[in-house]
Amino acid sequence: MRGIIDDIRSHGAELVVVGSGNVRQAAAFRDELAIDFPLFTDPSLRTYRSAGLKRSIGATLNPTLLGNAMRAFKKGYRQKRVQGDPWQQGGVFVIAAGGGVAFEQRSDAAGDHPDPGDVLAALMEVAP
Amino acid sequence: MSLSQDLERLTALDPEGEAVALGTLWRECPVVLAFVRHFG
Repeated sequence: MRGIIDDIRSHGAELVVVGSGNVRQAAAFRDELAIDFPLFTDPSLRTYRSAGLKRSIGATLNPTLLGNAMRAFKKGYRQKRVQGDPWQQGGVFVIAAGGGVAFEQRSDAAGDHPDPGDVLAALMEVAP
Repeated sequence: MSLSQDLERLTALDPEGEAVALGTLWRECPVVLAFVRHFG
């Protein structure tokens, strides 16, 4: 989603990221990548559970992992040491000002990400 | 209760360790809320 942050902001919205590492890992991640959007962490995973996001060994060690990893590698992504829960999957939500979910995607496996175009289309529905 | 209502009551920690209620993040503007698998 970082690749579309300018588009997100041009619609009067913000990208907010939540991770599962500890606070020190979040700070290091923010500093290392010079992150300028709100970044948070939830080591308890309560927010992940509340969002209905998967957590399982099978979702991480999934046959699609290899293809997803290759795709990411070709785009220049290099995974470093896992800082957080290795079995927790992610997801993306578009939430309107004041509440209301316009888009939701819950990853079935590691590397399962939504199409940025779909995220932006949903955002345009709720943008001011 | 809706998903956003469920989430807005929960807190996460900022990189300084301060707890923030998620609902404050979309009080005034829409957000793309991305939960990542892990940092790194």
